[in-house]
Amino acid sequence: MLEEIPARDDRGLIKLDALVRFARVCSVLPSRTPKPYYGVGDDATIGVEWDLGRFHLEIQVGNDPAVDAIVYEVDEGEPEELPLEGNVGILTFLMSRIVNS
Amino acid sequence: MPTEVPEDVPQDCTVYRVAKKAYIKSGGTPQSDCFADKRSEDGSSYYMSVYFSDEMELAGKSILDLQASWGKEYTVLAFTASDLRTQGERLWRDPTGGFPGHGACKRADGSERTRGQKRNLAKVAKVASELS
Repeated sequence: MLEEIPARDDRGLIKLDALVRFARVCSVLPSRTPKPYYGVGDDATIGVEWDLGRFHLEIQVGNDPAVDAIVYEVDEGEPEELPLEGNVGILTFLMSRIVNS
Repeated sequence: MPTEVPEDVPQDCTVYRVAKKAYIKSGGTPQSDCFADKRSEDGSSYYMSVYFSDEMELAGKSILDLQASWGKEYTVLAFTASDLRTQGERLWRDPTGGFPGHGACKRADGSERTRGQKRNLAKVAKVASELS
């Protein structure tokens, strides 16, 4: 996953600190995590998202850690949003449940 | 055909957002990354650029013209003004002297769009029918 981000960052928006935080998040994902869709927003955020059957899951990491977030959704319902800080364990739990379901 | 557009964007006006084709998922829906604000080079503005169909039509421009002005790496997503306002966005006309119909979209309270709010826009947006 880490190799994909610089290729998407064609305007050089993402700072090293954000890449390091993104790497930390990736390191807690289960080994069977499917390949996500990657992107870099005009607001200098890294985004990754998965459409996994009934579930939709996204992570955002920005140059400003205050915008780091997890978003998850079931059956196209309203997205639930959590700050990434303090909730990385929930991300691991969600992805583990989804890939094992 | 009208000769001018109202300053307030009508609720039924189609609003276009230009996005990278690489950010359209295999099912044809856009990634949330398509809906971020962008800071101008001089830092004086920070919003998501959009284009309003009524001004484009008045200038005789089509969606294909809009796509062509950005290049083949890009596609065009469509909403209505009502869709965006329902999601808590504010719209205003912002002519730049470039392609006609340029406008701005930002959270109504001026805040930065969260990931969940971007996701909600991604769920409403559709690739313009002329391009799908």
